[in-house]
Amino acid sequence: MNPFFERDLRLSRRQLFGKAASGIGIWALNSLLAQDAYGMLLPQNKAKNGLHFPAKAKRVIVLWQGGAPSQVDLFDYKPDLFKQRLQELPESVRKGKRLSTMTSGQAHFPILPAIKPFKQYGKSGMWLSEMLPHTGGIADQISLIKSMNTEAVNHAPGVTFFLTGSQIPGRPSMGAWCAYGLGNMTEDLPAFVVMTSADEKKTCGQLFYDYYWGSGFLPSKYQGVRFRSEGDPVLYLTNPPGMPPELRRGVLDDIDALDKKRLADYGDPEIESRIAQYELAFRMQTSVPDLNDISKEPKHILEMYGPDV
Amino acid sequence: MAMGPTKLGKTALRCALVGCLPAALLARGQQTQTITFSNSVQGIFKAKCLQCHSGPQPDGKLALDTFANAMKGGSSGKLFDSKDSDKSLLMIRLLGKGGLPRMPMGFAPLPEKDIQTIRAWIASGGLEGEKTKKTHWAYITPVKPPIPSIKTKWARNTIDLFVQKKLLDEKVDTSPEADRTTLIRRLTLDLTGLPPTPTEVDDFNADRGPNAYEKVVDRLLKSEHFGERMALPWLDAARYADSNGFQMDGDTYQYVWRDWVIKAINDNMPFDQFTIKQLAGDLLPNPSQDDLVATGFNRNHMLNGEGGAIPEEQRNVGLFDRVETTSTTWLGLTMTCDRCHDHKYDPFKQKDYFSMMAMFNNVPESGVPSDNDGKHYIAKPWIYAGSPEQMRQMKTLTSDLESAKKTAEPLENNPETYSKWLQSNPKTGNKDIDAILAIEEAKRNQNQKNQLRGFYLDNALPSPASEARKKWKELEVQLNELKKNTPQVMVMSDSMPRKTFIYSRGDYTSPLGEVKPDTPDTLPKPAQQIKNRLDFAQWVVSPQNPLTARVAVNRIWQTLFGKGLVRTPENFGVQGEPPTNPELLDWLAVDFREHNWDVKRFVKQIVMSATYRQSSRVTPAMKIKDPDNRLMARGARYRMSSLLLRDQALASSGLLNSTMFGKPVYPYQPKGIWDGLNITDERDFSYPQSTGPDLYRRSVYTFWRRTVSPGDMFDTSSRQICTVRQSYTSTPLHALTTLNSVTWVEAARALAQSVFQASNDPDARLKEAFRRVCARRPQPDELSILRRSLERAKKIYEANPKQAEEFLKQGESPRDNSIPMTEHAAYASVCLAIFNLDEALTRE
Repeated sequence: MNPFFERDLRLSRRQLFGKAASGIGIWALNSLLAQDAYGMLLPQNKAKNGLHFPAKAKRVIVLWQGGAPSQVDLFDYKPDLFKQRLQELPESVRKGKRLSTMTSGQAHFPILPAIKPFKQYGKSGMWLSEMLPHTGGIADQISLIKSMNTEAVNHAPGVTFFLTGSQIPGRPSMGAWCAYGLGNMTEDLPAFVVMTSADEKKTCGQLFYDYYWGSGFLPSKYQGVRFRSEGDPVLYLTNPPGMPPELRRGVLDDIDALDKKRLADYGDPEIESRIAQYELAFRMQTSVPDLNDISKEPKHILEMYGPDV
Repeated sequence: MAMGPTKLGKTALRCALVGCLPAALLARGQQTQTITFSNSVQGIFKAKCLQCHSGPQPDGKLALDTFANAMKGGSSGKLFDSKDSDKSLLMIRLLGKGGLPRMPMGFAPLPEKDIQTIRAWIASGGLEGEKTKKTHWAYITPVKPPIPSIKTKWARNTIDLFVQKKLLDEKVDTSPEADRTTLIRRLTLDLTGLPPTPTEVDDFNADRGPNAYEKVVDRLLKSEHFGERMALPWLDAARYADSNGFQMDGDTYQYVWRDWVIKAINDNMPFDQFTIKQLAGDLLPNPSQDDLVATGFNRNHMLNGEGGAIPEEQRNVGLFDRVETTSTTWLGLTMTCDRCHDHKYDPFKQKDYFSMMAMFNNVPESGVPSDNDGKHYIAKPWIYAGSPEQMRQMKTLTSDLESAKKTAEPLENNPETYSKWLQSNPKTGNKDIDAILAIEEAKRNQNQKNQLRGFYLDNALPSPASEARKKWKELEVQLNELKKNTPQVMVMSDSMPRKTFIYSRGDYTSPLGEVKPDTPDTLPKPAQQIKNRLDFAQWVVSPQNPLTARVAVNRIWQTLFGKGLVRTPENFGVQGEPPTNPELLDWLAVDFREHNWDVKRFVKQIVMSATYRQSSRVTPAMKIKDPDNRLMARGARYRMSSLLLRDQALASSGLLNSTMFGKPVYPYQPKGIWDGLNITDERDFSYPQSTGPDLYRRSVYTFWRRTVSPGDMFDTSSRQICTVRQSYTSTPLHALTTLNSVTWVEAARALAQSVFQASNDPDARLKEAFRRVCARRPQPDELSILRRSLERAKKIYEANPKQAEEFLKQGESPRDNSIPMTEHAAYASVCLAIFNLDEALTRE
């Protein structure tokens, strides 16, 4: 490798955080470099994405069920709770636990079991609530992790903790880390997108804050792009009223021509990035609406999405 | 992953270690000397192994932090028994032989170079080497290094001597000075955040006097826009916003603090005063209203007013934020690590963290918002901080009210008149009162008596008591109304002393030993033990403090060059980057302090230098030799922040409203930007878009909601936690913003209108539009592209005039209807293109 690239690699690593702190450091570095001006020059980045190691995960989907029934009601089977129904929570369990001010004033803390009985599904005998027959149908194809825990006593800090690793907002979210670590399969779509419930009632009155999908101290391009249910799916995606597509294309061609002249004069590789950025923006204008358009999906796919699609 | 409350999890902790450079990398290339633990191996361990193999309970009982610990070995035995490297336990584990997992477990194997180093180390006997007790550069108080004596025609001031010395060592040439037009645009954007007007450019180009450049610099330093521009990075550091964050996301009045910052910068308040007032203005003798407002710095953190929030937990979150923000902003330290444990890299202990926290822990606050009017949610302590006029009125009204009350009370408390009224069998016309009066006096209960008395006071007092009471009550209404309209700024106070404890693993419910206010033990101590924030603030700006002046000059440098001399402004510690020019940094730091922390003088010193004035063109050779411009052999060139890009669009189109200060404003935002916050009926979160001139204020005055930041302010700090480094990422979404947002579309229309009115010649109009944004005149081939753009747009709009009409409807500002629509729209489309040129978006 050209020593200048190596040097650049090393110094950029400082600005990120040490590989020592996380195994994804190397990938991250490369994908970051792959997308910035000097990184484009790296020999290994000539290949698509150009990661050092093949990224095994192609996509990560997180469904955050804000407002859903609790794990105890759905998939975390606690048979003793049925036996001790409505008895006072023993001090041996209760002791020292901080309580949300929503409940700390209660005189009693009765034990409540799941709202519906549990049964075993699949060959694995996975315990699930009877309310989840469809999930039960795929019991042998899914993994359930029941050991996640937070001591946050309130919604927002708890959610922030699960999604960013800290109760206090301002840290990179899981999606930002994935975008940073795994790179992007296509450049005309954002690497990390977020869709939030459009129905306030179904969210149990909980809010969605920008920092749930924020990039924290990572460069802001890793923050999630929220697909909106109203208006432009992505902010400022559509041309302003009165800017027909052929004119927009022409305007972009003019910008491109002028930027290329500037590049010839200044030699700054950042200008190349700018040129690419505007071209990608144009492509995103068509690819995002395509992505959101489910009208062309065949019937059997729509059925798989479920009744609410 | 069981975790204590309000402390960082392991994941988050990693995040706190931003900017780590494995020290082993630095040790590379020193292979000629004998390989020892100190000179080679320790760095590798530090970077790759210490995360698990250090601390009180190291994995496998093996600690690799010191030579002695490493030699003790762990539960599997010693690292090595002989000089035969490949038989050593250490090598077996590092290579993953013998059926055991390869170390470092869960991470990529060590690079071959490191393996070789360790192999060679064992083979040469596993020596300890010289125990270097060298203190990290940033923790040693800087002294002015000797000014390099070099032969130069290029240098204009001391900065240049340090820069050129380095360039001579590296055999690199300086760049020529940028042309005048580029220079004045660079200066004006850097110092005011606005583009120069064509007249300013022409005047500068015409002024051939020896001081032409300096005159521009002096003019800009005096401009009030200087404070608005220079405040921006400070607001990011201070995580300033106009709301609390979290549910309800109540508004605050902290904009008064924002105004204080802009004024202080414009008044060129020395940086030491600027520091002391913000950290401890309340503890100064006889603090003024401004001194108190300044302390808002440490009340700008987020506030969680959620229903279930535990106040004490939230109070501690705020305390942590104060320690960490103060450490990063003034000291460039990553103290966050010390919240849960001693720092893994830097010589700071958990005790240091909590000794700092002890100074912030005496505020009479609960941790959650204490007062609200349904829209604003603020937490005590706060003060009324209105305009001088408001404060005068409040004083007068308060004392008038006092005396009116004093007059009224004895008059109305005359028992004789009251009983006289009661016995007069009054008919009041009020059903409730008449019903009470109908009851026999002795049988009336206390509540009824009170009602009766209240009615009497308000309606039946005889003269002169009635007049006196009326006056009193009127004053009360006036005072309440005045108070409602007076900003209530959250400030610091030490009026509630508390004990402070070290928290086990950062958990506020697990206090350990008590600590008193103190400065970190590693850094030079003040002459006297500090007692409070004021002592601490004085230590921060004391001559022996090794960090503050360096951190401050570095950030100002960063504001003017895009990147600092230390490129990790958030971390001056061991894992941060060393300065690109250490002698220059130290010289500037000491010089800044010795010259009374004079910020404007320092800024002038930088912009007067030949280093600053260089052209930012990149030669092919330098693209390879110094792609990041660490040597500063050329001028800096970078995309401007989105806040300034908006200002630029407003200014060059003539839409800008330069009114300063005051309540934040609500410029255009995408429809329904805050709708997601509308979950209860307690508050309407419709975006209250401004109308008229408030749409065109500078971005620094835009309302910043913490839960949903302004949609068109891309690539900025989130204003949730302290941020001291400007982000320069590039995504297609940024381009979409400046191409499609109504702000830029309207600015393009206004710019088109203005140049259309100014001339009848299409070329002259295009040239003028280009100049307003890019400062220079387009070259002939560029002009022909603009012409082509205009012709194409005209053709399209002539074929479809409805589209032209639609395009011109964007934005609220009135349109000059005498301009034919198709033509106006066509020019506007060209202007929009100009706003989106790389050159326009970039400070060159």
